[in-house]
Amino acid sequence: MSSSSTTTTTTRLLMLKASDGVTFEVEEAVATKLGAINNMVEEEGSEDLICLPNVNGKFLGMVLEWCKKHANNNTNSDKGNDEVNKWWDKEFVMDLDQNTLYHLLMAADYLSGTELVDLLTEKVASMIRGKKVEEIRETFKIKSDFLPGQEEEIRKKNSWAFE
Amino acid sequence: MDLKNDIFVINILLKLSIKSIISCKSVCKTWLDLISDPQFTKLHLAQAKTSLLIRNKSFYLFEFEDDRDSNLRYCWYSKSSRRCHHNIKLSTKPKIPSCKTRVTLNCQGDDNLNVRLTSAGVVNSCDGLLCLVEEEDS
Repeated sequence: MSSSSTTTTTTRLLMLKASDGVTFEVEEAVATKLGAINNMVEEEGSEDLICLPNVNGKFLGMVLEWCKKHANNNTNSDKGNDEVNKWWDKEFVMDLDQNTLYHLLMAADYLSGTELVDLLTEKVASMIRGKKVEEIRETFKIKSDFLPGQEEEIRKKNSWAFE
Repeated sequence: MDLKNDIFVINILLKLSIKSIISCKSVCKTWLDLISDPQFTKLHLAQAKTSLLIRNKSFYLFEFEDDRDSNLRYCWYSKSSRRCHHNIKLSTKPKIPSCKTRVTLNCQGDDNLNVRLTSAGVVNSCDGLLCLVEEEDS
């Protein structure tokens, strides 16, 4: 069968449609960094338009931005690539507010972007490290629901961890 | 972000050091239950970096600094809650059978660290716990 595509390389373009109707045209190699899309492409094969009813355009855009960077960096098999990716990852998560972080995490998880989920959960972990219990509660708006005395007991048992 | 009932909480907590995890036990009941679950311990053990707990009169926990970028430094905690960041070298040479493995603690230049164990042989291990026998100084 003749193909309308004139490209000789394997840069097939996929159309991704977010929940709010926003569409993104992405190279297959970029989009398939996401496990969910990779599966859809393999299963449905010829389908070029992929609807993603659980992610809105803003966060899908951010996820794809991350995929694009990583896909590009991985094509030239330089040794410094790991360093470039690390540096770029740092920049990517640096100024994310909690709300964005959370929605991005949901989006990355839904799209099975394992590496991105790892990066984002690491970012949240870094927001916990070095903080006192009270500060953790404040940061994530968690209310203590311990019975009176229960918390003291835990602290007493492990006093060395609560310096 | 609702970190109290979130599906990602386990993944996030697993990335923390033992010390951070233990202090997280007193954040809320949900976290306490998650962390106290033996399954959590198994998951943590499966991906955690090596740390060493030495039990003598007081106890010492050696673990990697709570930061992905500084892998080379261990920090240690004692029962008296003191915390140090000295460079402690743990050298192990895994061998089969394990009884031939030696664990050596190199605490040079650290006067505060009163760990008498400097070299020990491995008797056996189970779930990440090592049973060590101290070697006689010759």
